[in-house]
Amino acid sequence: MNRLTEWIDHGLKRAHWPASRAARMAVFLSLALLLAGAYLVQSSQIATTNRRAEAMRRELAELRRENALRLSRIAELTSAARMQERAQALGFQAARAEAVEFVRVPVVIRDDAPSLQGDDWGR
Amino acid sequence: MRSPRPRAERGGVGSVAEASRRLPALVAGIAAFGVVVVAQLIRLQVIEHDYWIGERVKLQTETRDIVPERGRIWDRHGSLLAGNEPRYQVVVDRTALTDGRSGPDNLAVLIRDAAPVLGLTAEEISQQLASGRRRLLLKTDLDAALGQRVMELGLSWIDVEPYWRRVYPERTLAAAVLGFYNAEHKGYYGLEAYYHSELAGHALSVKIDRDVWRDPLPLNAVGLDLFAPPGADLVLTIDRTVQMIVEEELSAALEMTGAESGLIIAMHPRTGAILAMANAPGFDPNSYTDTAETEPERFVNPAVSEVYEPGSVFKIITLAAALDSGLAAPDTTYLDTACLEVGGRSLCNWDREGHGVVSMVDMMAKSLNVGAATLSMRMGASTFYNYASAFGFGNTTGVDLQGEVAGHVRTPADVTWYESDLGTNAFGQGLSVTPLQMIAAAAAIANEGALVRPHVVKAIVEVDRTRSARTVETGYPISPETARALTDVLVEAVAREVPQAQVPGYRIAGKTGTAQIPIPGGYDDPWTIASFVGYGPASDPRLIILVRLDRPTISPYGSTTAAPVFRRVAARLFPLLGIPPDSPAAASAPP
Repeated sequence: MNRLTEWIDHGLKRAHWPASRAARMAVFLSLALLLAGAYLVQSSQIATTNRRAEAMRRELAELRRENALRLSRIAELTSAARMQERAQALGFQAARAEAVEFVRVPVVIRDDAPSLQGDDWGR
Repeated sequence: MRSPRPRAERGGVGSVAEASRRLPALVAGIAAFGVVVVAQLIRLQVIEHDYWIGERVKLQTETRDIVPERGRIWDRHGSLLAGNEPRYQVVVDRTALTDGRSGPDNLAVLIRDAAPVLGLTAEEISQQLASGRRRLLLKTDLDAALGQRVMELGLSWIDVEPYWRRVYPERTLAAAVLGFYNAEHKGYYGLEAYYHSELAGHALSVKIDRDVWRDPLPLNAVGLDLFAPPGADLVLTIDRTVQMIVEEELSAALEMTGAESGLIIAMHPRTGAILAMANAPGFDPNSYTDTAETEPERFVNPAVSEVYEPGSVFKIITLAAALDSGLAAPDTTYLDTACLEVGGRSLCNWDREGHGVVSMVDMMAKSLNVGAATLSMRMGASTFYNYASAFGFGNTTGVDLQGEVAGHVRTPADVTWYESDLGTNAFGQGLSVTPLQMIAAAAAIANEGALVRPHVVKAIVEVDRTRSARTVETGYPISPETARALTDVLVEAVAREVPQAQVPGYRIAGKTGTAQIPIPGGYDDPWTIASFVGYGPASDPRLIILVRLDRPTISPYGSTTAAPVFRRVAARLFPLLGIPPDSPAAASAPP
């Protein structure tokens, strides 16, 4: 360490730099180093974030595809024909008008109850 | 100690004089070089700027078309009718195999490692190479598992590209309504064609940077489809359970009646919302290519794209016009003879018998052609055709399905119109309509005289907004009073003469139709189109159904073929849709 200090002193003396100029130079160099460091940190962070974003984008695209695949598989497994087949296998059968009894029930319809008007059949 | 003399003072080659002489030349040389460099810079950077940018783009980037995920189609309760499945295609750039950087090895690796996974032989790969194309599509339509296996091979020069394939999980269900979507990213028939631009979304062309080996940089190439927003989803008015029931009953009806084809439409008369639209024989949109090769006519939806002569069902319109114009009332009578001469042509009842003095109710119950022709003659051509037009005949209904046709009703303005047409048109012969026009017109009577536009899409759901369909009343051909009176006539007519259409507890208004089939030069005897259109419960109509059977073999008549189908469909749909009967007590009585 002493040797390094001596070397710097020697350099400053040979350059005939006054102490104030040397201090300014030191500050300038420190700032430059600081800036360079900040730039490197920032660059690496951007690169890392981009990498992460890329991975997430890849994952999101993959999840979207998986989701679509599952959606269509579920739709296939619960298709109307299959559900009917399954229901019949369990002993259920479709109700016909003559087998259904409609009963008038005096009830108070809440304001937020689903409307039976329009094209909504109340199902 | 003396310092040595400078070289210049020693009078050598480096003397000051000589240096002074050479310096301008050196400066001039450097300046000239500088000028050349600057000139070249100007040429490259300014004059030929665009050209070199283009060259750079060609070398360093690649354009890829991104097809977004196509919008899905759902039934009214959220069941998926058309969706998308990810599939994978394997593409390799010819240069990666043949550019010499490691070409022979890559080809060997391709044949050794990738070909078995892809199910390709060395010969097939050689054939691909011989094709001369740069991007070789080695395999397409791989499922996710197989696509993953190829990716796991870790061959950076092989592109495993995902794409979407259209799937229809309910298979043949509502196929004519849905249409299909082909491999060239185009929708055909039905909703796929009509709403193609909404479903397709916006395709993007994206430029991808490539590395020094011309491979796409992963940062750019991954998840590109995320940048293309998916197409809009469609939520239909179709109820898949209703559709399934209707298709089941139609299939059973074809078997029972020996009809070669048929269709059924079920609709809400007040809103025009179509609940089911079935035709048989149909097709499976998942394998549309098979149908395209063998029977492409199956793609056509006969409910909107094919016309027919409706026959006696059209008497509803004739009577509506007569009642509304004040020329007749339900109890108005006329003398029914077996035949009536109109415009020099003898028009006869289907049974070729005269029925004496009959009322309008009798005329409809017995479906008397002479009665209908008598009414149209009394109204006159102008009134009759004005009403036909007001009910929407001769114009498209505006339904949101591809390929709707308008049909044709000749009027006295047409040179091909004859006076006898006024008589034959009154009972539905000599004019052409689509089944959808017929049910929409009948629905206007159930809807107290208001004609509504039929529709299949309930809502269009986009990324940032939802557009909901609303009921569109397109006209008021008759008054509410006329509509109610006509409904009573139709209920009475069904009760008297068409018990096959009755559903216990429900008052059904309806009309049968038995129409001859026109062919060039006459009619295709003895074949008929048998139909029935009916709605109920008459006190508050909430469901209208049209049944049409083409060329039934067990009987030519709508009353014995189509009417029972109506009854079976209605009997299943009323409870399913929660539609109570007119008289609950009668409905619950033992059959």
